[in-house]
Amino acid sequence: MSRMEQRKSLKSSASSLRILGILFVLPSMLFIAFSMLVPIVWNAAMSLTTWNGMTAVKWTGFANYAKVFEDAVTVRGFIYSLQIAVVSSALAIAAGLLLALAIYKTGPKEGAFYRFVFFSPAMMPFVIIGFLFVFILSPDVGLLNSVLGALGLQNLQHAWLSEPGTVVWTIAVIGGWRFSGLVMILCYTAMTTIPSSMFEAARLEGMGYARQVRMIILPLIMPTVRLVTLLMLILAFKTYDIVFIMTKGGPGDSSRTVPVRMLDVAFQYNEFGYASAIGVLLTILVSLVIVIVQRLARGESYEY
Amino acid sequence: MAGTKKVVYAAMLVMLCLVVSACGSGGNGKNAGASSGGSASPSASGSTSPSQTKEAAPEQTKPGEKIKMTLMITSADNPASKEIEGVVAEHFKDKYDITFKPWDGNNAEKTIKTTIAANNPIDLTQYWPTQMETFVNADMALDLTPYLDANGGEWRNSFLDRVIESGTYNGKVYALPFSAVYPMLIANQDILDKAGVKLPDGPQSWDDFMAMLGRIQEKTGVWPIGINKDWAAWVPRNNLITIWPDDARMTAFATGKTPFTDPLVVEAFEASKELYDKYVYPGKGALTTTLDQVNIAFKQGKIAIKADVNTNAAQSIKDSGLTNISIGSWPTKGLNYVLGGSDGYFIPANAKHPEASIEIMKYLTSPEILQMRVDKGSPVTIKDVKSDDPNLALYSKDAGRIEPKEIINVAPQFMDIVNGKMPANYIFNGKSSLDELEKVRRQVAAGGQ
Amino acid sequence: MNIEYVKAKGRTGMPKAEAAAKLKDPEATMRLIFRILLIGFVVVNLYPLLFTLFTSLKTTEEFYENVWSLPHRLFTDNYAQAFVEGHIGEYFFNSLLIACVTLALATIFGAFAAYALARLHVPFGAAIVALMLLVQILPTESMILPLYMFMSKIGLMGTRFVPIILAYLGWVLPTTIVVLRSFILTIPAEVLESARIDGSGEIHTMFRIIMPLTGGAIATCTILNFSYIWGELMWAQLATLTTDKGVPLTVGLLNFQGQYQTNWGVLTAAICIILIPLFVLFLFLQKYFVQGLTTGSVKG
Repeated sequence: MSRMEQRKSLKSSASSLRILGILFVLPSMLFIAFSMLVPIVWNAAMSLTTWNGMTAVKWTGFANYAKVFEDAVTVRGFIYSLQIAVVSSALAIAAGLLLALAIYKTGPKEGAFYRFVFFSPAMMPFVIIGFLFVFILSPDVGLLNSVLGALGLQNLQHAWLSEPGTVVWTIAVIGGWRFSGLVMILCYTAMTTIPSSMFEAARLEGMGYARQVRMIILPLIMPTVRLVTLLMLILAFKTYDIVFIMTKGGPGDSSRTVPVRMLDVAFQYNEFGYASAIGVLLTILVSLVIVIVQRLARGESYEY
Repeated sequence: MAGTKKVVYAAMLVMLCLVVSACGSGGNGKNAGASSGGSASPSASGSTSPSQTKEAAPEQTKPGEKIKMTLMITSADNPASKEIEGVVAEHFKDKYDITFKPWDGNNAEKTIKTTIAANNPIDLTQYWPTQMETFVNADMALDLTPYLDANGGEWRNSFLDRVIESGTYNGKVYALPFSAVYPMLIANQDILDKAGVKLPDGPQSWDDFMAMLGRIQEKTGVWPIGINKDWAAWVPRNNLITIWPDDARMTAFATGKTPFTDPLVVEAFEASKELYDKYVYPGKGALTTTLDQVNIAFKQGKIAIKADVNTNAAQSIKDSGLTNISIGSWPTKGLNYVLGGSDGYFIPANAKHPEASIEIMKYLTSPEILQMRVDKGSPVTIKDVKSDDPNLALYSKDAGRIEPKEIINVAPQFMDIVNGKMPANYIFNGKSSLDELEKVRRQVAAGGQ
Repeated sequence: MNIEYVKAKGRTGMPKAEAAAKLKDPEATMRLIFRILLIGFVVVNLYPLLFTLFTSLKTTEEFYENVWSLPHRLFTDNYAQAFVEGHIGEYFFNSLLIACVTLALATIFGAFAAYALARLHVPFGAAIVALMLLVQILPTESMILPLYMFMSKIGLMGTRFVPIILAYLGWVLPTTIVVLRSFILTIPAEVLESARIDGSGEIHTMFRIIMPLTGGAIATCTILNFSYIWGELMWAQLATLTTDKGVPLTVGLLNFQGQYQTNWGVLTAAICIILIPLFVLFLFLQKYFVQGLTTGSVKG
């Protein structure tokens, strides 16, 4: 084969790589365009209009956005959503990481059992989790209050899902519990990829597990933890299912998160334009939180 | 713009093709076994997409084929509805291929509106004729007047006098009621006897009612009353109807002319808060107690009185297994009315086969079907039914006192806030929870002029 | 290395004689704390499940007598009722089909796209990656209404499974692509370059080198996507509004709860029917995952 030919083949391979690249990316892009981009653009356009679902669409500019800030229920909805997302992500990550570190130290059979049990809530649809917890948390005959009563902790008993002070926290904790197994699996998976040679030096130095965790494990799985944090926040901001099943946003407005409020506004008040504006603002809020968290995580990352 | 549209459509075709073929190959093996009973769907073949999209459109209009209809008329808490579903399916089996969706009061509005907005409406749905404003104002409901008046008003005349008014807006009928609905009280008489109290035959005044509950609590230690969370709003709603000195003031409030800062409005809510603070099972969690939990507690003798709906009363008493039961009217703050309205049906304005929907609606409001409801103990709105249950009269005794004019019908926001979030918001946030309502009222008043 | 590992294991299974020494050893104390933590969490996780199981084996009367008691005897009528009248089997099949098709498509398309974005020349590649990062964080809740209108306009809404799978596929793809791409980027470029110079085609590279090396990442995505698809409610509710064919579990269970509101026995039996096969499935998958993960890591 001559040099000329080789160069030619390299050239053609560059353009064929380009074509291949497009071909590889295209199907995914089409699916994403269909179920995400088109609705997003549609939504953004609709947020600048007034539409009651039936009659003609009216252009109203940014009036819908101004309305959000005057609407106390929606503003509180943003606070609740943020609260649930942050609290349940933080809980899920803390618990998941701790569980993964604990399981890492147990035998393989035992570890598999724990992993299985802890991951099980993540597999259960929220519908089922909701049913179970409505029962466990019921104020009169519920398991939690019965246990607290049996332990003589009557003053800790609450009507968990009906007191405005506790309901959002309760939902956030359940959300965190549900996803802790997912965090655990992902972190544990990352830990298994740490070559055991890394620990040999540590053991020779007589390093305890706590120090191993701090010096070796955490720095090495930091990329995974960061990824998991992002995923967790994304998942935890989806506050429709769990709220809908457990409280439907109530009692009153005391757990009315943004997605629930958005659907109310659209389907009960017939204000589809306003609902779209809320959706757009939620998108902005979620993006902001994620950017901030990413910045913070980057600041703390271990350099080596 | 047109160019982008083309691209989007082309993209969709490609995707459709991919998905259909993928579904075919992915699901074939499993599909064969599981869907043996079902009709062979055209998409199972996995051929090219254009032929498929073409097939999809004329499917409904083929002459020999049955029309596909979707009805949302089966409500879980109604004892007769499952049976009615079967009879309707059987009755129309040669003409229509009917899908039944369960009707759930909490989501009905959302479901109906989404399908209407997407031009894919449910063909006939249950709804409350007195609460149709939200659909009527957005032109979402089919005008039934011409059908009712056809053949010399044959259909209209089958109803009891005046009941059709509940679904009439600006002189046009948009929804037909099948039974009058209002709240009532069912009491465990054994507990009441122990406390030495009884429910009077007529409506009780609010103060007497509260005194009675206090006595029950004091003498028996049992929770005086249990109220399902979805019915909590009945307490303030009924107070807001009956608290006025006269009909004129009541109407003024019900049409949005009285501010929510009026002392009587505040008192109506304050009274609801007092009831919840003191007497509603199980104290702190009263606002989230489900119907289930109330029923269990009632059955176990943990509560003396439970709130119920007249149309469910017969079944509910039967389920409780208690024999010594008494029935009472909802307490009033003054005027002799009770909140309520009716259960009924309507057809979305853009229903695909309005004639077929009308035909089914006629059947649903016929003596043949409504007799089934009567047999379960629910009073109905038409003439030609009969009952041998001596108690049936008890379950419709307050029907004549129903006052359907309520503030909640003025704007969907009122409906959502007063019916969906009260008295909880008042209990938690006090008077400031009324600011939101007052804001909506001013907007509506300004918009109306 | 192996010896070290065995030694470490040996320490886990310490005999009782060393218990005294153990107390002094901070490692052992820590292990004890870990064990308590783990067992406590197991109880928290298992109790609701056991409660569900017990309730499903009780008659309604038994249940109302004492909600938290053990069942008196094996009562299996609830299961028959849930299966026959509740169509739980059918819903289960629907959900499984939706999950399998979506996951298979998402993995294949996602892996190709991720590879192309990581290693091939895609025009505006950087912009596409940024776009993926952006859209994956968007709440799907805000897309549901327009998507519903769009799909019914083009006549997709009446079809079985298609609207649900299409939407889910679009929603899980961005995350899948982002995760897989970041894993593929960790594969040394030399490995791919050498394969390319060897004359191995890109598709060949994809299946022979990329796929095996990203096994762990694919497992990760599959777990993530599965738990999302399996539990999604909002879109599933909307997409099956006017049909009773192809209804997934979440919606089916809600309908079911509507019809059997007061019958906790049947409801919990339905929940068990859903969960038991799922747990069995995961038990197998977990083994496979861990194997895949460890072999992947050894090679990497």
